[in-house]
Amino acid sequence: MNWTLLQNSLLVSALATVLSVALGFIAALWLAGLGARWRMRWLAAAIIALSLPPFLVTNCWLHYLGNAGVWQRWLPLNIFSMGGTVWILTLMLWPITLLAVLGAWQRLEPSQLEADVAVTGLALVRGLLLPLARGGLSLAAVLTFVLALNNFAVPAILQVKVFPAEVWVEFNTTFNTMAALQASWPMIVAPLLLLIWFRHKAVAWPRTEGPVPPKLFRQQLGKGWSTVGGVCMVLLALISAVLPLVQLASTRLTWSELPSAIAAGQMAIWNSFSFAVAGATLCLALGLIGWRWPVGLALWLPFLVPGVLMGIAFIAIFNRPIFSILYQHAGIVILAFGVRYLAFGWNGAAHALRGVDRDQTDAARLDGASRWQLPRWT
Amino acid sequence: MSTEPEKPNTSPGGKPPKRPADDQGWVQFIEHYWLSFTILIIGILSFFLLPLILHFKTKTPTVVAYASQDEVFAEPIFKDFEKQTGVKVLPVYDSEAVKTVGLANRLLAEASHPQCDVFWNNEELRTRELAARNVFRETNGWALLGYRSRRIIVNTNLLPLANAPHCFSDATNEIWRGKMALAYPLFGTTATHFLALRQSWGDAHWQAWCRALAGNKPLLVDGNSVAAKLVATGEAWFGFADSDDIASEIHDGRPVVELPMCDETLIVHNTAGVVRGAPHPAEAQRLFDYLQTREVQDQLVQGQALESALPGENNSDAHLKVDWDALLRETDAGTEEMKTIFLR
Repeated sequence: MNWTLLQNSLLVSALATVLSVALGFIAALWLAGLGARWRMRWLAAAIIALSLPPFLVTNCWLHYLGNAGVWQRWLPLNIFSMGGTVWILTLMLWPITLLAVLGAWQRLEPSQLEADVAVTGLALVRGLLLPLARGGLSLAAVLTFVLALNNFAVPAILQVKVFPAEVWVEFNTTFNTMAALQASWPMIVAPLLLLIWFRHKAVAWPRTEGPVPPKLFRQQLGKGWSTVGGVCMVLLALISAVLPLVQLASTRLTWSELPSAIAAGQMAIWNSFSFAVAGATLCLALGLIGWRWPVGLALWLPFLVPGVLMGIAFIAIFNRPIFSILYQHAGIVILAFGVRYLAFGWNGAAHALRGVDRDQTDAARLDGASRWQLPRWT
Repeated sequence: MSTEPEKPNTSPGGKPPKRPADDQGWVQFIEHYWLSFTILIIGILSFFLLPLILHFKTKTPTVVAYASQDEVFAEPIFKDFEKQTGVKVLPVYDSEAVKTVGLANRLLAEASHPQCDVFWNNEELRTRELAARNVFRETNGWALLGYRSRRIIVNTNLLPLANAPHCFSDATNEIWRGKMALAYPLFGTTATHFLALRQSWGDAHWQAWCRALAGNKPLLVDGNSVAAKLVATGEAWFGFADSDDIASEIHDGRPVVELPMCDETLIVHNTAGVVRGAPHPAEAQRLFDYLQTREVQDQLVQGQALESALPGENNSDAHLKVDWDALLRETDAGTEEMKTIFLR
């Protein structure tokens, strides 16, 4: 066990998590006060930031702040450092918190804000918004931590030695899958402990009214917090989504090589899309079917295990004549995606369905709503 | 008494919901959820029907090829093979995330029930490791193809060629502190190169060199293409990389050159192997033969994926002479030493 690497990994992941959660929460304060149309636009920017490949973001920052970077003269920061690694991971991962917090605040009701109009600003954040978002924040923190902990490309390029390198050596040089699995136990146990710790932190908060009007939210939050949240969100969107895309678009090679890349990768593009859709559908369907079963925590395990090791396990299980139709075609990939990401579908469905007001569902059922009509009307 | 269901009296939106008539309810339901339906249908199609369709479609002669050669080079070669022979190639490429080792591990994991017919690899050491583990058929199991090599890439805007290090052993000079880039020596062709240098120089000399190199604070990155790119963009003055990665940077118009071969240069062959128990042995043999043809190798040289179309065992240029059997035996010891030096 290489303790230095583990220490580096835990430190980088923890710092990136703290920063991502803080920035995501502050940005959510502003976004929650926007109308649906503008909120969707800013959310789109956040999702772009989340989906950008790590090497693209890292290349962008090397272009600006690297040794030969175009900003290096007037902004002499050392991007090849732990600080640089935390910075880039934060820019990639803050949208997770934003989405989780906004989801949690969907359960906020107008009467809660109107009950005492004197509760504004920091008091509102501490007394109402933070407790309501606690479950979402916990989950976002764990997800951010896991993704930062498993990231090898960004720390490697920025010269921070991290623990996944140890796992890669076992997988890469000795072909010893069991040794790789044994080496990766801290990457599984650390997030699992966090999940167990945060499991009961969510506050049950069923919704009985409609959502809070954005104007009321802004009014109660106050100008100061709204401004801070707005500035934070705009800067994050610019730095984490717009800047890498501008850098990519302004590179001549991008345009000269794009047509041949698309031509060569048409099948890959279609596969990426269809496998993702099919995997997500499978996760959601299974989540809707079994959301009441108490297995939500166990389902995180496949997400925490390094993907390559899960792939080897799938080969060992499914590479048999009886599964040949599944194994020799796309089905195995979709099944693997389904198992790896089932925790999201399952816990998401359970979270959403537990938030439904039981009285409303009972009333709809008594009024004769069918099983198909229930989700539509409640 | 009407049997029509009454609508619920509230909705999540807070607005009083419209009550659907029975016949319009489904229409509204579909109108509202059309996107979800589309996704659901694509999902069902992908999960159940596509595999079935593909299963019946692939009753034509096929060969399954695992290829670590870049898709952009391999795909046209497979297409030509299909045209010439009528045998359909089902390729599986390595991903950038796991590189060749992903396919090698897959071959090992599938050994009891092979799915692959031909493994086309661009890392010679991994092929030899797989051969040692009986992954390839007993007779005429695998073959060397053309080669690329490990080279020094120099950014000529930052470092005039006259001042550049002549060969790999010069990289430990203190004047290069923080100025060079290379991939982690524990992975890929960099690992093979370092292990070959260990064999050539002896353990003590090699360890001293590795320690001096690590002490020179090079930029250690997760791949040779990244190392070449760091030199090309001026983050480092020079670096160690594969010749095809350097060619790619030169092709992109970057101010870089590769230094000529020296006696520390490692030749890295492409290889092709027929898997033991291949499901389509006749087709596998045809593809195996086809990949060894001069026409295919020339095509790879033209695309700069290879430097030479012929195996370089008897190449008269200066390069490292490797005893591969011994290298396989020494891999674990060398790797442990590199872990101590480069990962601490």
